[in-house]
Amino acid sequence: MAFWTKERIWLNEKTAADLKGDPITIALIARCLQGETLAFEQLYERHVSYIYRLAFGLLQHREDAEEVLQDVFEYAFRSLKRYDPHKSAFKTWLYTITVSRCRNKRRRKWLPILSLSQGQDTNQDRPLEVVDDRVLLPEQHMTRQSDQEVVWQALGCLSDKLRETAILRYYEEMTYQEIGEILGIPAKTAESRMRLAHKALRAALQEFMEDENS
Amino acid sequence: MMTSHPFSNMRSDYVLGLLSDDEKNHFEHHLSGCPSCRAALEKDRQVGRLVKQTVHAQGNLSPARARSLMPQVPVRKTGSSLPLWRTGWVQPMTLGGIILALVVGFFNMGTNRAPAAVAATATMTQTVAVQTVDVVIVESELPLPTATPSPTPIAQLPAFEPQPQSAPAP
Repeated sequence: MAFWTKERIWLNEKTAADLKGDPITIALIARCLQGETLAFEQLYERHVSYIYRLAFGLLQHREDAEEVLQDVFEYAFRSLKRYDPHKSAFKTWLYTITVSRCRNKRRRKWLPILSLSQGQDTNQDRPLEVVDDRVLLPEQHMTRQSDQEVVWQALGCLSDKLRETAILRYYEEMTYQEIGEILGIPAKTAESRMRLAHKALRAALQEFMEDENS
Repeated sequence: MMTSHPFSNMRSDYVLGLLSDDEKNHFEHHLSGCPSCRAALEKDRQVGRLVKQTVHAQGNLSPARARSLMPQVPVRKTGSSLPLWRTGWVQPMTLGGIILALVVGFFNMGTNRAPAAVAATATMTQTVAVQTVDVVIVESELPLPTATPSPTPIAQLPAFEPQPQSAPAP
């Protein structure tokens, strides 16, 4: 809380070097705290895609991920004064909120782990339009979607704890220290969870990878 | 019976970035001379790549949808956004007005109430006296007064003495 004064925003030159995260985001936050609506929009646009991907990856349910997304940003906008850029990057702070909200959502819904047959039956969890896929031929597009379904289902077979760790590591390429901070666990625990997640995914995708390589 | 490769555990740790510098060098040295480890390592790397591609593709959100999901921006309560009654100059003015109204009201109430109280008292006294006189007149069978008498204080009124009634004529 040392960074933001009560109402006025000031950036101390001495402490600016210690700030975590990118300077553009920090400048946007400063503008948000001054009440600029446009800055809120820019801050949202800058972070919305990866927060949504994380939520969707963890929950594997579109509507739930959208609800969590709204909830995360609503909370972040309201609590922007509480964010301390000396402690963590804004992205890490948002991830922490997202993981917490996803856990709450799962707890409320008692979301069962998706089995392979469930995944095939539900239209809701079908892969969406991917921007990169527009350049593919129809048959290539179908193959890509099918591949993604296999991996998506393999991810769904992981326990919640392992899935959180795997997505943060594989997709976000975070360090174990950062994963530990976000999940509220020691870095060593994050490492062992990652080992288990990798082992499980590798076993689940073994056949698929062999087919693909052949 | 198939024996596991001595570097199999190290392989996944290498991909996951869990090896120390020494272990890393040791494994890389082994890797240069072991084609099976190189092939297995490629599969380990592929797991991460597939997960990354899938999460990226599955979690694609169109810009229009993203915009529609943006929550409301919190309104910052500064001077201009405050309601008029809470702004700096209106508040003392309102307070002064209320005090003034109270003072004026108090004085007005004091001047109006005194005559009203006196009048009410006089009327009540008169009514009581007249009623008492009427009762006395009826009971004593005296002729009614022609003019309205001035109200007699209750203390000066004659005491009520009932007269014995004569026996009815046969």
